[in-house]
Amino acid sequence: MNWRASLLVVLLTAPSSLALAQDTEAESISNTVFGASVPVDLAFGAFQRGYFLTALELALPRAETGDAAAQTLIAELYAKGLGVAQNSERAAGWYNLAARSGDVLATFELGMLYQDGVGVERDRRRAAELFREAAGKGYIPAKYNLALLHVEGIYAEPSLTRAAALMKEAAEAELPEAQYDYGSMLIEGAGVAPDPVEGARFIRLAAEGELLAAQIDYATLLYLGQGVEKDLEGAVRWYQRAAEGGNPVAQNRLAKLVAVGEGTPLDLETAAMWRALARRQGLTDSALDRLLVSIPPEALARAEERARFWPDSPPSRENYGGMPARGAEIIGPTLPAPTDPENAPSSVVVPSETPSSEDVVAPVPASAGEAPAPEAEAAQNP
Amino acid sequence: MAPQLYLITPADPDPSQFPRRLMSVLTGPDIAALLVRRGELGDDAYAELAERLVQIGQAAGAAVLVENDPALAHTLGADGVHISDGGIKALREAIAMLKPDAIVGAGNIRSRHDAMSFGELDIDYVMFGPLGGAADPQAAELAQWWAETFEVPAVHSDPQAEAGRGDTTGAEFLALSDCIWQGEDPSEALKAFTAGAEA
Repeated sequence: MNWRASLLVVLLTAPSSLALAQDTEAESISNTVFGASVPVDLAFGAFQRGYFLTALELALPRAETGDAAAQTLIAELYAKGLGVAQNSERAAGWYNLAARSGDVLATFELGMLYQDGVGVERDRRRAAELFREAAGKGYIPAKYNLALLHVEGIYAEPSLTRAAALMKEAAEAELPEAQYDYGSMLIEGAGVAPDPVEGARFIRLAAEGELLAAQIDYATLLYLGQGVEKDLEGAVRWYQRAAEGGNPVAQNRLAKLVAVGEGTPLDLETAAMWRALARRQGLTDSALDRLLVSIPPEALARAEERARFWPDSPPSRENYGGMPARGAEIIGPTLPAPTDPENAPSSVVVPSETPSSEDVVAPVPASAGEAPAPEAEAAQNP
Repeated sequence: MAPQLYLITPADPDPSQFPRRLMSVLTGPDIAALLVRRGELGDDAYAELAERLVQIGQAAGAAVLVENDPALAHTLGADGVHISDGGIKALREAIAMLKPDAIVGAGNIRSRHDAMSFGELDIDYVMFGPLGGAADPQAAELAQWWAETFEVPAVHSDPQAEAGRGDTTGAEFLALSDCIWQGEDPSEALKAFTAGAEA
C-alpha cells in the first residue's frame, strides 16, 4: 500500500514540477527576447474586463498611498459612473490627487471639469493652467484646448502664432477637430502663412475622420475648386455623407445641387426630400424654394412622405410584409375571454363532484389542420 | 485670505483653573469655534467641564462644540458636535439629531476615501490633523487638496503650529491646540497668530 501511495505522490507532483520548469524557462526566454516583464496592474485588468467594483477595491489601497494610476482609475469610475453612482465631486477629488502626482490624463480631465464647472466651481483660469501643464507633457487633446485658449486670448496670451503651432502638433497627431481647425487656419492664413492646398488636405483628413463640419467645408472646397481641383461629383459625395449624418446645412446644399443637377442627376423629388429634412431642423432657404417651384404636387407629396420615414423608405407594397391581414381565419377553438363571468371559478369547489362531460372544455385538436369535432364547434359558436 | 481660528482645549485641563484661563484667552482675538476636547475624561466629568466651557465660550461669541456626543450638545445648548469616532454611522446619527440648528463636523480622517464619504453628508466641515500631540505630516497636504476641490469647508488642525509661519493650505479654518496651551501665557500665544495673519 505504501509504495502505491508514494507512486501516486510522484505521479501527482511530477507534471506540475515539470510545468513549473517550463514556465521559468519560457519566462527566461521571454525576458531575453522582450525584456523584463512589467508587473501586471490587477486593478486596470479588472477595469478593462468590466469588473468595475473589483477594480475599485484593488485600486483604493494603492490610491490612498499616492499611486497616481490607481487614483486616475478611481476618478474615471466616478466620472463615468462605472459600477458606482456617477459622482463628479469625487471624480474631481481623485483627479486632483492624481494630477498632483503628475498623471497627464488626470491633469487634462481635471482641467475639463474646471472648464465646464462640473463637480467643482467653474474656474477657467485654473482650467487653462491644467491644460498648459498637460500640453507641456505632450497630451494631444490638451494641446488642442490650449490652442483654442490662445485664439480666445483671455486665459492664455492672445497669439495666433502659438495657437497655430499647437494646432499643427495636434493635427499631425490625427485629432479630427485639430485637423479641421488647422486646415481652416492655413486657408485663412491665421498665425501661419496661407496655404490653401495644405489647408484643404487637412480639412479632407478631418472629413475622413467623420467630422461633419469638415465634410461640409471640404465639399464646398471641392465645389469651388479652392486648394483642390474642382470636382462636382466629389462635392456631392461629401455633402451627401454629411447630409446622411443629419446635418441641416449639408441637407440644404445637397438639395440645391440635386435640384439643378450639378454633379448628380437632376431629381426634384429627392431635392424636395432633403429640403423637408433641413426644414424640419429649422433651416429654410428661399433660394432653394425658388429652384423647387416647378415641382409637381404628387412628387412633392412623395418627397414629404419619404422625409417622414427617412432614413428608412416609406412603407409600400414591396416592403410591406409581416403584419397579418385582418379577419384571418382562426384555426382551432376560440379561447375563452378572461373577463367572461362564466369562466370565473365558482365560490365553492367540491372535489368529490366529478365534472360532467359537458363541463369539460373541449381540448384543442391535436392536428390543427383538421376540422374540429362538431360538438366542439357548437360550443364555440353559441 | 487668512483662515479663521478654531481653538481646541487641552486634553486634561485642571477643572479649577482652566475656565479662568480660557476666559482670559477669549478676551483676545476672535475665535470662530471652540472645541471642548474629551481627552481621558469620563462621561460625567466631561459633561461637567463642557457645561462650564459652553457658557464661557458662547459669552465670548464663539460657537462651542462638544466631542462625540450629540445628545450632550443638545442638553447643554452647545452649538454643535465634532465627531471623531464611530465613522459614518455616528455622523449620520449626529446629523439626524442636530441639523439644521447646530453644527456637525467630521474629524479623524483616516483616508481620502473616508473624507469624501463624510463630505457627501450634510456636515459643516471636515477636519484634517489630530486634535493634539504631534502634528500629522500629511494633514496639510490633505487640507489643501480638500480646500481646492470641495465645497465643504476644511479645518486644518496643526497642534504644533508656529505663529509666524501662517497657514498656506487654503483651508477655511486653522485649528490650534497644544501650541497655545503649552506656554505660560496662552492669550499672548493666540494673539501672535492673529498678528501674524494680519501682517
